[in-house]
Amino acid sequence: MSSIVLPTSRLMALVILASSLIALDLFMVASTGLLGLAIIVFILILRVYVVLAQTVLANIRVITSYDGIREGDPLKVAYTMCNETVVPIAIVELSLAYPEYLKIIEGSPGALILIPPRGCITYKTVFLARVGKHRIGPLRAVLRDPFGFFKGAELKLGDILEVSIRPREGEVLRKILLNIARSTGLSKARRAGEGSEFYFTRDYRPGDDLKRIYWKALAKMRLAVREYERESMIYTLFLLLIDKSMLYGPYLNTPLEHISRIIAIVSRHLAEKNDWINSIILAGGRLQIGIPGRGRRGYVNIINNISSIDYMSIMNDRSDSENLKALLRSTISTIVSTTPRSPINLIVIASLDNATSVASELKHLQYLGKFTIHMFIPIPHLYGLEKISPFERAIYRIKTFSDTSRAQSIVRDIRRTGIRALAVTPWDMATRIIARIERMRV
Amino acid sequence: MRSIYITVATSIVSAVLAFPLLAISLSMIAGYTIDLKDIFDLRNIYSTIRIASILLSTIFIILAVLTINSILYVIALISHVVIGNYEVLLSPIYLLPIIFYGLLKVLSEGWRRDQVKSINISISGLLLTIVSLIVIISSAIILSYYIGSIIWGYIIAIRSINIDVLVLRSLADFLTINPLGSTILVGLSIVGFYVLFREFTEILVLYINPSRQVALNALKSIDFDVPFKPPLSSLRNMIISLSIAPPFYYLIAQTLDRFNLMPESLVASILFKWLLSVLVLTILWIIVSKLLTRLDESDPSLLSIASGLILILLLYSLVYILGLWDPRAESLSLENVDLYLKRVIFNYYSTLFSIVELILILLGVAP
Repeated sequence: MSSIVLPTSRLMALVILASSLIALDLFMVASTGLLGLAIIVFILILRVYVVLAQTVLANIRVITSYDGIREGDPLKVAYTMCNETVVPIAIVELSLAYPEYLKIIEGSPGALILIPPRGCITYKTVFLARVGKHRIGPLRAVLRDPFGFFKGAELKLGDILEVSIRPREGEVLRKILLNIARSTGLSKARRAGEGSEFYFTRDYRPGDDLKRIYWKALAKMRLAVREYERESMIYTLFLLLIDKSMLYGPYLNTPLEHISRIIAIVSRHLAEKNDWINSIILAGGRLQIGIPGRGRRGYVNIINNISSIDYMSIMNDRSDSENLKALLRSTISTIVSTTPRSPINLIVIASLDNATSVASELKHLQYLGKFTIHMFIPIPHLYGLEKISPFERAIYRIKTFSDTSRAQSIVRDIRRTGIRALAVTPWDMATRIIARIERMRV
Repeated sequence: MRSIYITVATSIVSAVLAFPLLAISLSMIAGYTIDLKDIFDLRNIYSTIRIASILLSTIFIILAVLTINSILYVIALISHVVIGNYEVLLSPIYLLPIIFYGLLKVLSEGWRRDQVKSINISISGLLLTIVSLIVIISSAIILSYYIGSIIWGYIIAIRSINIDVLVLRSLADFLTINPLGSTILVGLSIVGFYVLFREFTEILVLYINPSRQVALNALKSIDFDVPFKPPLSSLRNMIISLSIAPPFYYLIAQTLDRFNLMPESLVASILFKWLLSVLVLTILWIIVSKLLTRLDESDPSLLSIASGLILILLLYSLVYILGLWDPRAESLSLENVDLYLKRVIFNYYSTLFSIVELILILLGVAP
């Protein structure tokens, strides 16, 4: 029973005082016994209040909510606590359980609060949202009496919020990609064939469909037919292998966040061209297999898959290279069994540490004929350059030189296996990917 | 992240609260003309103690203000009592800081820097909470004074009790007139009252307002590796202890008497007999409980075996010391001890029951 409420060291002061007062009276020094006893009774009454308030706090109604689903936006988390009894609850020391990799931009991670009788109080905190799935909460509450003589056992208030944050697509980068791509709208092969877009007119040849005769040309006494540009359709599958090294870097500019943004923007670009797209994410020893889709549906599926990346599972991942290989084999069999027979662009993004083992497993896919594998290896330390001054950047570049040369050596080794590998910087990754995809368009 | 403003504000308030006591201490220091040579002179020992107490009090007040520590403040207060300045214990000006230091400490430790931005509460709700808290605390203070006066009246009644029975008078006098005895009596009464009231209110509150989470917390805090105890095992252990205590008590009393290990007047006094009987019973109860609990668990450990052996060795050593047993005899004979048993058991239980009777009289249960 006594574990409901515990005395604190501050109570010792009152106990010493009360004992001294009673002892002085008993030793007939001064008439202070009654005061000493009154203090002890006061302690008891205070304890009764804390026990009562603790049970009220444990039964309190808590409403949890959050607002904000896009990377870089404020993610507002709110806990509204409503006390339906007439007992005021004071003082509650709140602390919010949240992942350490999330940054608070407004408010505090905890607070001292008073909960009014028959009233509500809202505790809210604003985080700077970053891509992936995050678990926030519950609120940990420790009740103290106003003078801090007693404290209740820690209570958990509210639910754990599972927040999925989508990557943000930069408009500048999107325009750059549009310029790189050969056209907007539906993908065109620059070849005559079946399609809906007008390409050119040519002279009628026997056997041409009458519906395709260009009547305006006939008015000029020329028998011609319309030719349409053939629509090209490609299947792009993103395979993203995430490990701990991708979580390090400036806030919102870690390799993972950068890659997520790039995949989002590239997949949007491909969705606008009505291509088939899909994603498979291997993170924290777990395989997240997306749903293939064409156009907008495919894009939404990819975004959902990215926003389900669980940071905590990556951080707590203890799997070794053997586990990774086993997972990769399972990934390959999933890829083979779930993709169509048509040619597939497999865009693999792996860290510098895993690239070699990933390539050695994936090279077998090439023998099936339908897969064209493009591997992109982000150089991790270059992601730290985004937010620093040019001078610091110049010095930092010297430091990252060894990483870059290591990346180049790994890329050379991978290329020998037939996989088109490329070590990329944060600045050219998106353009490189889109250039590769567009080159594959037939 | 703590708020620097709150830290500064609480420090200022703590200094203001401690100012009256600090002022008294400083004025006392100012009133003294100290000759350093006299400090180490034993003839001026009382003066030296007074000066030391005032200095100590001043240091503790300053430390209490700096650390917002109510224990240090209480020590400073008690230092004043040492020099005979009792009024500091009766004036609210000097006593209130002890309570408010707790509040200040809670604020300074728990208030976060940007917490105002995190909290959304209506002004009416905040005012209602503060007002209701003031009402609760004020009522608690008034109520505690009245309940305290009732209990204190009861304690005074116990202390003024007049017992005619000669056997009980010495112990009754010790408990009522002797300050040490009174302290023991009052201390035990208060502790008993506190524990009973605490358990009762806790059960009552949980019954009125049951909470799953609180119940789970309470259950989780219990050590799950608790051995199974058969029902009424404590009573069984007490009965066994009571049955074997008389010979032990008697043998120990005889040993003390025969070998003059303690002053004769003390050994002969009834108060000592009471003390010894209770002490023997308590120690035996602990040993028997240890032994039997292990046997209940079917896991006789080294401790339980040692407890049993100690009992047997103690018994035989005492019997041998008193010359009641001759190990050179052909057979193990405790005939002489048997002769004592009737008298011993009668004496022991009469002593023990007189204590129980006295407690009942003091509690007002028996006339």
